[in-house]
Amino acid sequence: MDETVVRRLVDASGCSAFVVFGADNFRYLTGATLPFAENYPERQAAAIVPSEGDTCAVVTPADWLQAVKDQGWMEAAVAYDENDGPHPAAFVKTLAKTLTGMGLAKAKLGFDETRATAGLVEAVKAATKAELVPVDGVLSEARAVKNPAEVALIEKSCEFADRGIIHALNHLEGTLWGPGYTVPELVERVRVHAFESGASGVGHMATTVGDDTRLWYAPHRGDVHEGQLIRNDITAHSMGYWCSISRMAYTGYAPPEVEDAYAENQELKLAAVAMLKPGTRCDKVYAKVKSEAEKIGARLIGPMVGHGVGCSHFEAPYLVEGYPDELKVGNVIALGVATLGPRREIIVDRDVYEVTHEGARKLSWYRCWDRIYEVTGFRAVH
Amino acid sequence: MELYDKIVAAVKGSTFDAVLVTGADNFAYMAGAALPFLALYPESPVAVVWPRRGDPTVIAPEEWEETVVTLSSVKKTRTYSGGTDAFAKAAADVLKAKKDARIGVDLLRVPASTLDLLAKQLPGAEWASCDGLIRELRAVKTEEELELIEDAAYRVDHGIFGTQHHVLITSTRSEMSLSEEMRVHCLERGLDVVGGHSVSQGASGPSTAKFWPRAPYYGIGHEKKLEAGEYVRMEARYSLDGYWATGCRLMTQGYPNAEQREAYGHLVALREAALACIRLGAKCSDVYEAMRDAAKGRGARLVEGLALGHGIGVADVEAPYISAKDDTRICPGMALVIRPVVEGPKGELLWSSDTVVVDEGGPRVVGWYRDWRTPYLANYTL
Repeated sequence: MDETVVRRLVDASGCSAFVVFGADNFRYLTGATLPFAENYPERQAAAIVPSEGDTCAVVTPADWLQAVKDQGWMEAAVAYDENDGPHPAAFVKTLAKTLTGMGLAKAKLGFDETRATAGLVEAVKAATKAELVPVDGVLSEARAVKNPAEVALIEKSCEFADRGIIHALNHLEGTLWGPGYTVPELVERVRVHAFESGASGVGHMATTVGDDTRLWYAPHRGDVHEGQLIRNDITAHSMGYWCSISRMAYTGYAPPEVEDAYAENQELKLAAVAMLKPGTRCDKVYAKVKSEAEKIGARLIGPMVGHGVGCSHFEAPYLVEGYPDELKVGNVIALGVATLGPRREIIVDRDVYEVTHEGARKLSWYRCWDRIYEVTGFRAVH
Repeated sequence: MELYDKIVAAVKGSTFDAVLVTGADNFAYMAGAALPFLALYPESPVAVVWPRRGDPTVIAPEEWEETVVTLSSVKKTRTYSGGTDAFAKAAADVLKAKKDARIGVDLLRVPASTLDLLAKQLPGAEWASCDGLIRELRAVKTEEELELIEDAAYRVDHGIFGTQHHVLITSTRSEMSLSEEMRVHCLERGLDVVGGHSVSQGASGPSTAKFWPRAPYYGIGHEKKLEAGEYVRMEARYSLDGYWATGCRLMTQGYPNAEQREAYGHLVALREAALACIRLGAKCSDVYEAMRDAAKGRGARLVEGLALGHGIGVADVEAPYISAKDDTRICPGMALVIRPVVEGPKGELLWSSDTVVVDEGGPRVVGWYRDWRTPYLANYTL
């Protein structure tokens, strides 16, 4: 993110500085992806960006600091000592000291209250005289509109994720007649191929097979057999910019009822894609899909057909019932309509699109998935 | 006592009329549901409401209902459709009979904005921190939990060791393939490779000078090849039915030189110092001090700013912490990971994690596939 743009945002919000705690907002403001920070709620990082002055700063655990610097962070970087107190006291002590050093201890600070825990906010208030003002809306709005460099990273992440899936499926070819793949092995193939292709990380990975495709996630157990539906869900990032991709496959030739269900799903998806234009209300996209589903008798699952991707794999804008915001040029949407298959399987083919003046530009173009992938080949290796 | 009954007794014995937990880790614990993706969807919160009397309820987005019910030990659900506002309404609906109640909430997990929404929905309720209660519950494991932790620790150790067996100095591999081999070996040993942070990481020579080499490609590894004479650090963190193991083992490329042996000797001595101090009733901070003293006595360069160990369970890093300010008393049922980091002769960051289970007789190191009083030595030939 361009620092000038961020400072302008801070200034426009009437704050002396932004102090963000969420890993996604940290990435947005600093350009640095933290190592799995969402999974470590008792370890904390913050990025401090003042509206003016030369210095920004980050505060992180000692073992994350180098990683932030290695991603190009040239400004102040302070590690807190975990031995200074229990969470969040140790972190807050160093944060307060850093804010004081920056002349911000009594300032009006914009923060991300949808990411900072109530306990953390309480501790920061107790340790400083700063006025904390939520700026989640400002951050979310800014993040929702991507610049070309951000779009390019998301486009790369789509390619890496799609390569992960298709290469794993390619490996599955020719293995169905013998003691073939286990489900964990198949998922691992998705991950390793995404990595080998260039992804810098994965987030949610769920490959469901057979009856488990009725669920969004099931523990990876058992073997892959012939005559099964497979759904591969993967979120992956390229230097901290995420995609969210889902692909369907069938082991063997898909029976007509599966093909029909997939075609139905594609029809609904295309109806949604046609609406991805600047000015379209997000809830109208969902409404359109819903009405089309009713017309063709498809069983739609859930109240959402898409969402933004960027510094996180799930962010605004949301194509969901009751979300009236209009789409803008620069929005990047992961769009996947979830419908029920013949045996109540969840069918989704999730692609990622950039909203442009001309309409939707597909970023997940690596392969065309307009027909379900059929695992019918004979190669055991490639 | 079964975990479910333990939670029932704890809530009943607390000062709360109901407990509401929102953190992904706390949810996994209370709901008994290993859903590795929850932490990655802060905009789609989940919760467990556990009343003092009556059955607990899970709150989840509508589209996740079947998944959550299938995988959770809590079978009563209340779903919502939409974002955090809808979540708060659903939570309030579950708690509606407790309008003026004292509700325990995990303040160190719940976002400040979500707590505000909850407070608006139930203005008469008193919202108090239940972090201490949950921390205490989670820190002392049931026998079943300990069995899983021990099993997972053994499998991770075996996975790392199995990988080490493949390393030959004269026919070496890259850090990337080393990382992947660890993952595959752990997978082959039945561990769940789920969750984006479920990674292995191999670092050798100069790469070991960083906690996270090649950021943000965390857990992927460099193309750098392992060289003769180097220290190689091999880390893996995986789970088994929702319970985690985090292992790290060191390997030298050939016979270790005197300085390498000395550095490893520091780690062994620090482990011994910790084990000597982990006694029923001792404080975690006592263990920390004992380890610090041992390091000082030996002239070991202990890396500053980090706790020297932590608990393990439904999260791979959790309370209690072997740190200067954690005065938690050691008691039977605890599962700890001892993880001091020392600087090696060439600036390597070296650690060798050990999982320790505490029972009435004191500490017991679990999961060792081999005797780790010496590092693994890679051979020149088969």
